[in-house]
Amino acid sequence: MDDTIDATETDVARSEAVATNRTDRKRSLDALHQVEVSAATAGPGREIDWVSDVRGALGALEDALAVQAQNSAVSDSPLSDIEVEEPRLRNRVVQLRQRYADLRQRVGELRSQLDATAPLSLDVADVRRRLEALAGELRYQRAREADLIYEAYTVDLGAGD
Amino acid sequence: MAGRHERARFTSSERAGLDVRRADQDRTLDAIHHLEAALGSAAPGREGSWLRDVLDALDLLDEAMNEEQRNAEAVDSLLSDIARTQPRLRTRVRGLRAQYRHVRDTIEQLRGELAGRPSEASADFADIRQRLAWLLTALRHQRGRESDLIYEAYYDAFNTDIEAENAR
Repeated sequence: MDDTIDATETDVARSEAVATNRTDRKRSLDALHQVEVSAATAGPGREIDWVSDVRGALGALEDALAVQAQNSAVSDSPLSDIEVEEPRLRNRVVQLRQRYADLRQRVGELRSQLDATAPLSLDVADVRRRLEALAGELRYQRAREADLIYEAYTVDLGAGD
Repeated sequence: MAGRHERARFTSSERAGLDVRRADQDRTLDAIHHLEAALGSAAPGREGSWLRDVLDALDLLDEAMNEEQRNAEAVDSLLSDIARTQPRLRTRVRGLRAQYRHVRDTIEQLRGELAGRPSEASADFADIRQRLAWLLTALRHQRGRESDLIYEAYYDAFNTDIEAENAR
């Protein structure tokens, strides 16, 4: 009887943790889409507006990734749970966290560089290229995270995207 | 229609062209997001349903791109107008159209290849994700270039309209 109650409580806690993870992923995906929409608007000839929009969107993405990292670091998050309960998957969790942290840092660096560059001396094509690389990396990590959590829990995080 | 610095408002046909382009781009963007979500969902252990979702999303993108390309090729489209009235931008219009065709050919080729696999369970999801990520990057790159071109072509009209909006 007690075992059944424990199992149910674990299931509920896990569902809540997965729901939080999905919310965090949705927030960062929405922020990424906004970065891409801003980057794809006309740049040359309207650099001041363009860079202001891109910088704002990058700031929102940085914030979203920070919240995601914070929630993922708590002890009852899916990644923390996998780290403890599934030793064979521990390395993948550690790598994933490291790559997310690197990515957040790169987003912050790019935003700081845009802050420090005079808009009229900005190379729009170069900034777009760097944003594409960041977006590609973020999507890659999201897919790896979905694969990992499916392997551990048989839950598809991507179903919430 | 006039070129840069010759006239400072959108005509009604240019405005209509902008609306069509915006609707096309919104449709394509929705399709891109669908495909992205399908690619980013869990694959190992559920390769069959993953691949089916990817193929459905790729079909959707193909339809959206087909429509967008058809509208961009129409004689009254913004790109046709730019090619006709602004010779200095004609090469860029040609480049964009070539890229439209290239993207559509790539989608077609990938659809055929993925749909023709002997077993869905044998899908090499890492390879498929990478190849479709390249395709989506090319599409985003194209959107940025097209926005730059249209802004450059209708620079005065854009600024007059924005000033008018701001004055309201």
